[in-house]
Amino acid sequence: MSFKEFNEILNECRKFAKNEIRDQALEADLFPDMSWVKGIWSKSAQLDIPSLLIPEAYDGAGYSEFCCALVLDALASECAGIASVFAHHFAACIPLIHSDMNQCEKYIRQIAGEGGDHAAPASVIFPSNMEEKNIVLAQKEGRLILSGTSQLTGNTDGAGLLCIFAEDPENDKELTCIALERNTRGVSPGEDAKLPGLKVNPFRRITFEDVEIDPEAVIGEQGKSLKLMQKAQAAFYGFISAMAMGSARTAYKKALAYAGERYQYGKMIIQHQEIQRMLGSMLMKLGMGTSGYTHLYNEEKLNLPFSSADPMLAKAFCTDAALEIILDAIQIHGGYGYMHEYGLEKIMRDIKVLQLLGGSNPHHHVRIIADMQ
Amino acid sequence: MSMDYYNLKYGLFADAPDLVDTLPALGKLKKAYPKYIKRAEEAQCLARKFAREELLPKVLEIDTKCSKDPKYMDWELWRKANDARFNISPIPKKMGGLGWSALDNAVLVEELSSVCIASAANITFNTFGLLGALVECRTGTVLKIIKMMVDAQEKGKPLFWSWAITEPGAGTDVEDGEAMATMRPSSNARKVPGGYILNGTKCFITNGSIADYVIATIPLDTSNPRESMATFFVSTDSTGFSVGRVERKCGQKASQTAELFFNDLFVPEENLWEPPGRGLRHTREILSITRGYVGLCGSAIAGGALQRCIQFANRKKIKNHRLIEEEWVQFAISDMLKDIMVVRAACYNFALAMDTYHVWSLFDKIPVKASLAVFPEKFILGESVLELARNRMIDWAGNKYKGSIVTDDLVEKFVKEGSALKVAGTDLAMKVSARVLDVVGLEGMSYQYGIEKYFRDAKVTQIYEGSNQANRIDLFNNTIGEMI
Ligand SMILES: Cc1cc2nc3c(=O)[nH]c(=O)nc-3n(C[C@H](O)[C@H](O)[C@H](O)COP(=O)(O)OP(=O)(O)OC[C@H]3O[C@@H](n4cnc5c(N)ncnc54)[C@H](O)[C@@H]3O)c2cc1C
Repeated sequence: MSFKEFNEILNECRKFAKNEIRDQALEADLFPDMSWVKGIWSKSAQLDIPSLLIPEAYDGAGYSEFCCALVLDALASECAGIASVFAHHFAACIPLIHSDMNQCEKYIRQIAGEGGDHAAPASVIFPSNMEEKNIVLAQKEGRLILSGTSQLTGNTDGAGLLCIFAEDPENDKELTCIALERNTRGVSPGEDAKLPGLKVNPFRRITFEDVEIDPEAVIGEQGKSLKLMQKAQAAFYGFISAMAMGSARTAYKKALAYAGERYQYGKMIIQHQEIQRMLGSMLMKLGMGTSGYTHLYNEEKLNLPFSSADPMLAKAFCTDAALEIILDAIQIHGGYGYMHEYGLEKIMRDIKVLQLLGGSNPHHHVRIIADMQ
Repeated sequence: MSMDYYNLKYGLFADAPDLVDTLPALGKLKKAYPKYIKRAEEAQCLARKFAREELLPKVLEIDTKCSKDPKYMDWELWRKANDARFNISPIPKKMGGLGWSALDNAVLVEELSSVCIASAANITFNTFGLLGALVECRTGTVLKIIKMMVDAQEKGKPLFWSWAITEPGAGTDVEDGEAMATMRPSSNARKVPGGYILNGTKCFITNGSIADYVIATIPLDTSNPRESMATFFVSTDSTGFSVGRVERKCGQKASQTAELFFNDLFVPEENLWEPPGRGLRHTREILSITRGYVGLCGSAIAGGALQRCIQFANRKKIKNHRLIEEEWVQFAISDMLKDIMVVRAACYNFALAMDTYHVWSLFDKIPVKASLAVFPEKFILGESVLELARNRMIDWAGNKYKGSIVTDDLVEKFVKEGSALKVAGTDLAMKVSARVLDVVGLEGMSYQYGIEKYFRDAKVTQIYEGSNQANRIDLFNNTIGEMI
């Protein structure tokens, strides 16, 4: 894809986000409305967003993960909740496109299918190392049986297809990837966890009660999907980073604009050095976070031996930085920043949820080193 | 969560009193002034019981209802607090209050805020009327206010006060002298025979929507705000008073924040609490008391959030162990405990200093002690004593005597101390309430555990009572500024 083409897509996405999301994001945060989310999903098909990752041979747009990340950055700059619906969907696409295409053609076509009936997003369910038990896939009398309860997972309400990583009951290192229609019998979503942010994307646990799995629905090789899961998870971390930066960029822009309009202590507050320091520090974090996550996709161009980027750490950095940015952006707005209608406190709640998606940051720091040993 | 969920006897669930146990330096005071510390321990037992049994079970229900309707108020909870007389706690016992010291009130504020700072505000903000009246300390006014508060308490009738200084165009500018000089006021007062006419808008006023009385600072000359700033005592049933919107906020939802309009509102001469030019001084004296307490509220938010996190981590099972057994979790908890211990101790130090030097010290002074001793309980707020207190000489003497104790220097000294604690406590509230969520993860952040509420509640503590930037300016100016 050429540079120009790339920028065109991004501009279209920004326009789309601004026109379709901005005006209603705050209202939807107060009164989450699935039909609004569905409407945006359907409209996004005009820009090929749902099938961004699907190869052209399968009627998809055939773009890269990087392109997805930038699209998510743009969507999150208007509403991280909406963006997170797409992020779950993109992450669910990863295992499909990295497996034997013939094997999962059915599902790929389902996702890339044009508008209409099967235009529902997919979602992905990862095992968690912070849970007592994960979902298992067992062989019982020659049949494959999926059972257990997932960790809290987003985008389950609107999802048509679930991409599930299940553990072997005997060996939790042996993972199997399964594609399953959400409305299969025995699949039941739990209560909405009512997280403080990403309100339009309710998070739930999903329980699988002895669901029989068609061997055709196993993506890749049974018990050998650890790599596939790592790929999907890495992509998801990149997407979270992008959404965090998109949200934080809006926070920064709003703070910069407000500081130029608000008179206090004898000046426009942007003339106070402490406000300048805060804005400067925000800009620094935005810059480093954005370079950090875009660098994840930069392997071919710049492959320095001492500069490897880890998606999990990029996510930790970007979400931590985003939280610091939004806290300062609210501070700059004074009392107004704490009020719903200014839209800043929503960003704070959204970012806090992004920060905990896929595991918590201090735990990532521990794991990255522990896993090297 | 059901109460059985909390299975660690820690914090709110530890047996009270543990005041001296958790603040060992008080042990020395306990030896020297056993009654003083004993009463604080009693206050802690009462406040903790209330926080645990009345407040905690209702917190999320109230938060949910207020999300739907920012004007929702849980009157049942308020009545229970009123029955316990928490809302008139500093008023002397003989007059019908609890006679609680600054230390006792610190204990109350801490215990309640560690569960829900917004509901705590509904209960403890009632002392604002008293604080406001005590600034000028005209005996007639002070006794009148006390009588109103005590009567209302006895009848179980809500009586709310608001303190209205912030305007749409001036937040920082109404709290600081240098800033006020350049402020662009959106309210103004005009002298007319027999009183003043007020016009303008105040915003973000806590309890403004339910207040019976509002203490408002308003300038007479908008081109000269600092020199003409006056303080008015406004009855909300006056013609020309109206409430605008009640804000939809991120957190602290149980505490209403409202916009107030004054439209040709007449205030009689006697309700001018501070003459033009003294309005800022009135504000500064209130800030010299409240900022330290807001610091303590911050430390209590941090403490409450951490307690909930510890209870969660103790329950949460992962693979073959519990979350609290993870080393990184233990280090994180320790680190937060350390910060809270340090800030909390400093805030209690502030309360002790309040009792020693500030308005509370009046209760230890002979003229006040003697007056309280002379009159029998029944008469102390009777018409004849009120009449006597209104006597101009006595009124004047009260003002002068109090002014000799709470001097301008003392006020600025306490603004300095309070500002440091306010920043330390509220920054900590934000830091800890965000960090505990990293420990408990997505599940622990679910609404039902009530942990994320601390995160939503904390942010505004860095903004109100003077933004933390304004507090830093005060700290610098009152410490180094004069020397350079
Ligand atoms: C929930 C809530 C309850 C409240 N309750 C009350 C109440 O009961 N009564 C009342 O009167 N008010 C109340 N307030 C108002 C509160 O006190 C103000 O919001 C606060 O003082 C900040 O003022 P502001 O919002 O106008 O911000 P501004 O003063 O406009 O400040 C904007 C930003 O500029 C910064 N700034 C200003 N000057 C400087 C400088 N010289 N250097 C560096 N930075 C600077 C500030 O720190 C802030 O970050 C309440 C507010 C809230 C949100």
